[in-house]
Amino acid sequence: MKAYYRLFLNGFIILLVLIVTDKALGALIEHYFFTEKQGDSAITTHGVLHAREDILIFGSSRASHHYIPALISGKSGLSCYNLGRDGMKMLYYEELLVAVLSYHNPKIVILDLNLSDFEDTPQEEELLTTVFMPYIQKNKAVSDLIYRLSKTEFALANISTLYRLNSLPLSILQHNLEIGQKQFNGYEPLFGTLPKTSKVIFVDKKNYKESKAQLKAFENIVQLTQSKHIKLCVLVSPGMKIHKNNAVKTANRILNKYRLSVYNYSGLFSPDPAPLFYDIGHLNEVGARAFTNIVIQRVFPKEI
Amino acid sequence: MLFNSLHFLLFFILVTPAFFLLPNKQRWKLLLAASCYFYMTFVPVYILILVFTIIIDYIAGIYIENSKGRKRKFFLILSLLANIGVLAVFKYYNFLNENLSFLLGNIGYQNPVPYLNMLLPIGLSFHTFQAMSYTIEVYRGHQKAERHFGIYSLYVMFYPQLVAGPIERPQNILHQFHEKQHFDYNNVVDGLKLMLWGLFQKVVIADRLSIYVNAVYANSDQHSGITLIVANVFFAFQIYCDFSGYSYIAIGCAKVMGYDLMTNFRRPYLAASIKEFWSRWHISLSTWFRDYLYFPLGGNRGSKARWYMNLFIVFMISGLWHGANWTFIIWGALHGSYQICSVQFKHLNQRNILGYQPLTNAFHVLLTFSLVTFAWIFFRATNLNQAFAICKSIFTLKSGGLYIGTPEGFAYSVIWILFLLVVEYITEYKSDLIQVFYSPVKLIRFTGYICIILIIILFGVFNGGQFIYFQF
Repeated sequence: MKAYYRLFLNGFIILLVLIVTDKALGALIEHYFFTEKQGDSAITTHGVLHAREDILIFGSSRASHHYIPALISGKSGLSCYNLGRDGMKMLYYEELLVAVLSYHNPKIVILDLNLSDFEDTPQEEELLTTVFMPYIQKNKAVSDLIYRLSKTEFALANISTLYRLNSLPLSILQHNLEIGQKQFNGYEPLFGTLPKTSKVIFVDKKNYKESKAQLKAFENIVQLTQSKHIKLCVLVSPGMKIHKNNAVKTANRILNKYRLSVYNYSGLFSPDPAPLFYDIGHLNEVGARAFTNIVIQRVFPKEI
Repeated sequence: MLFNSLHFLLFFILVTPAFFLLPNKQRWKLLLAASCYFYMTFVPVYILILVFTIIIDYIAGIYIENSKGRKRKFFLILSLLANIGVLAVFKYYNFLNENLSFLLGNIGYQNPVPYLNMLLPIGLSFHTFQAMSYTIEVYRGHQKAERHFGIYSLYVMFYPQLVAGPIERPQNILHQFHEKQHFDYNNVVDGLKLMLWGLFQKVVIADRLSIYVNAVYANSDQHSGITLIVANVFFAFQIYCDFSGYSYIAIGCAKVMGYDLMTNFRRPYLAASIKEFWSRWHISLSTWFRDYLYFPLGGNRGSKARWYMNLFIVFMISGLWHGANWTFIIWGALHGSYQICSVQFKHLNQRNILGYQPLTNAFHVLLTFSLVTFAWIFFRATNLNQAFAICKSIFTLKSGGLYIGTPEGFAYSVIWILFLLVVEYITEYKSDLIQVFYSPVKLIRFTGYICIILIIILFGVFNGGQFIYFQF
């Protein structure tokens, strides 16, 4: 009996110290996480907790590198923030919009549609859980999302602060030291150009398959903005990799039901786009400036 | 059920106290039921394969013991055929058929033999080898035939080592199932420490490295030579931590209940020769091949040519044991060739070629690691074409920058490899000076446990999937 007692006592001590350390160390790391000024997490944090702007831009890395909020604000007189995040797709845009709408109604939502946005991506829900996990106790919509995606993750994230911040310490350190990519109201400029000889690539994926979940997420974005009387502009920004089986047709089919349509600028800078591109998927700073100006001139008069 | 899952944690928390609460005579029933459940969480119907081999080997063991002369051999061969037959059907049938199709295709014939569409039973090579070691040992008179069917079944099915070893010998484990296991504080704590370290190796190191390795191998033709070198070094540590992590959890899990399983890894990347590497890597398998194949073939007795051939055969078969693919056979053949070379150039190994012994030792360790890492290319590649293309890109130093993936992911990979190397170095050379988990000072021990748990929570990769060796 003595051995059992000793095991329980020592186990209890370790558990107690673990809980205390988890909370204390977790609170410290969390503090630095929520005060990040740079990086993808800082942008998501802004969307989940602090977005008060009139115009919010949603999308992937293409959104974050293509729309300059300062230009948009300067011309429209409305405040603007770019919530685009690298590697994300429609499910993320939808959930981030839900999180924003839980505390703020913007006037305009710009959704940058990626030409592969409706494609099936395995493990995307896992990615969503990872990205939104740190906010589980900060935003009810996020908490509901994690609960829906995985009850186990929901439980673990509520028990352990460090678990919520899994794998983040190095990026938190990097962003607090402001090393690497800078962002300006969510816009992350890219400097450099592709070789002049670079040509547009047309991609024809044989096994292209649209995901029902992504389509549902897109329609939900449309419905949410409609129900809150928010102007929704769905744009395809320029690219040098054009997908044959792309999202535009599908997006238009859905948008037409709500008397909306896609502004497709995928081939805007043809036939000589290379000087405006950083790589085949992303505009450089000059390209982003040119594109944002065109958006302001052509789209805004119709939408605002 | 994976060792790095909540499902297993719950299973362990329920089974272990129940084990100690039950009277000793009833414990085998609990362990057997738990082992059946553990195995059936993968593909339930495949338990029938285990039942089949268990019945054959159980009966064969008794008959071998009771028979004399040629009859003994007959029952041994019957048992070996049953086990190898199961392996042949479930693991090698399609591979052999594929090669037959290739050969017949080359001479203009179509292979009429159909392919079998089935999943490879998990851990098949492990439990069949463990079962074979039983009948061989009974035949050799080193082990008495087990009369208790339940205990024999448990010998084959004991859940900690059922799906990925260590491949036990009957002399080491069978008698332990008959002995009374008392609740022992030191055993429980030692077992938990091993499990904790194993979990750290798996989720913090192996699964972190797998992200980079998988990304590179998925498009290996598009990566530069330097990226492929980095990916292979990462894979060397990934497979080590994945398998060693599993073994530590298995050994720890058994230790908690008072059972001692054999050590499977002893810091293999600190080996200064290929021979030494194999005395530190997957020890339960390498000793199995030594005892049941290398020695019966004649070992190092006879001519040098015969000795070399024995070495080569053993390593080729060891490669084939890992998987039904030419990549594994080449991997085995490479190690066989390494062994032959290290015997042939033994005199060079013993000379202090750099003039300063520690430097020479470090050079030997680095050389051994490089040779082993090169061979891993064939282990990891999905086919020979990919393996040769990777070798070409590495040796020609194919141009291009270093692929990083996510910078923080890459940084974590490097940090944890360095951490592991420091721990291994200390354990190997300085364990009398620096101790954390086994420190006599309680505060240091507890701090060590807490730090490792916090690191697992904060830096672990929890969606890393199953252990690599489960597929064997």
